[in-house]
Amino acid sequence: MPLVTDSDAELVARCRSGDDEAWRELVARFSRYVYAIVIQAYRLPAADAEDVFQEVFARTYERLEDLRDDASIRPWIGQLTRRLCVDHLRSRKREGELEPIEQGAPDATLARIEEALSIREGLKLLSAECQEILDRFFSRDESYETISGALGIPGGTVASRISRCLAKLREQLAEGRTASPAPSGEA
Amino acid sequence: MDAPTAIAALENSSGGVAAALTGALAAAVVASSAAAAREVWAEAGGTAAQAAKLQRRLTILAKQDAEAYAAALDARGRGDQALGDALDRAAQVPLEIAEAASDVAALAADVAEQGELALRVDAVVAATLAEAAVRAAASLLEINLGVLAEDERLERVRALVAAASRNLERCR
Amino acid sequence: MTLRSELELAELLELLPPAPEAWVRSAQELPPVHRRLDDLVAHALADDEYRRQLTADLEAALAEAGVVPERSLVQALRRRLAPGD
Repeated sequence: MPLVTDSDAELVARCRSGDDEAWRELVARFSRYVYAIVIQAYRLPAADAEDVFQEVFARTYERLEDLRDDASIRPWIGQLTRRLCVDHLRSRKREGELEPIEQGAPDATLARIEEALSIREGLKLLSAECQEILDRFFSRDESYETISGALGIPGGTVASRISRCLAKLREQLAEGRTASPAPSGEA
Repeated sequence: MDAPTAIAALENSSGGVAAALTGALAAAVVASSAAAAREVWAEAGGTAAQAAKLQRRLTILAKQDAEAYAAALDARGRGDQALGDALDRAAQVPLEIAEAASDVAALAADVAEQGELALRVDAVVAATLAEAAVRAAASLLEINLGVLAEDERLERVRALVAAASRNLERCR
Repeated sequence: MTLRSELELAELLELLPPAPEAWVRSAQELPPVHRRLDDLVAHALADDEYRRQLTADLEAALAEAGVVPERSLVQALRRRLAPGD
């Protein structure tokens, strides 16, 4: 079965058995989540953000054996990322290098990130073209010209296609449909 | 961004900030007029969402332009390589402003084609502002890359100016 | 499921941009890099003098082993060499 459709628990099991390809898929699957927590919720400067990002995956790799519930890898990674961000901010604050973060500000953004993950899950119910076009415009900041070139579609139709794909996503989510199987992170 | 904040952002700023904020303003007009057409146009919601996204993008680009401009000024006297890198970055941001503003003009034209007079008027305003933003960003790029006539970004930005002008014509 | 507007969906999609490719590639390379760490640690456990040299300058040891001494890897190596390892 292609790794991209493995459930989170299946992917963790493959990583544990030494499958390097599975590890690469795990990183790909959760990288947006970790990046969003570091950059959007805790607003770490780029160099610090990269340190924390790498530390999250280094510790995840070391501690895969200790995971009690493989299916909970995503909340486990989320919690680890938050803890490392807080530790990092505390140590920088002690060194007088960073402004203290506004109390409660990360919590609101963290909640929205979790909501965003469920929306991205909903993308998997759409056609490949819709998934791609919505990701490229909204998440990757690509222009209509770039999207037109990448997907081989006429430039004048990109905006209209985005609108239709967004309407389909709204409809699918409103009907409460879920993608199956249910990998919980990013592909 | 509200008007007082936008005006404050322009103090001591570069032309790139003004171009980006003009594009953001155009995007806000498109978002508002598209939202008003929800009852009569199936793509209104999606168009408004795209315009709102471009507004946010252009506001971020305004900030990035100010930072890139400051970095370029700071790089003077630090050697050719440092200055070259800073100027290159300072040229990249106007290109991104032009791309986003050109997309705003395209959305404005889509709104105009819905036919209702009130929408068409707002669409013309938005497309006019967006086209101006593209032209302003293109001028900045041409100045920043003035010694590199063969840089492919110049050709790209000229194509964006042409596209924005065509979209303005679609609105009229 | 809450009926969200297109505007809300767009804002949420924007919250999850891709991480920089270089960061992702570096994290994806952890398994082969950790196998090199395994070799360093095994050598250190078998040779006290080597262990002392290694502990004195972890970054240099990693670089010599062909591993870019990123902070997370230096810390990983330090954890593995900690007493009780």
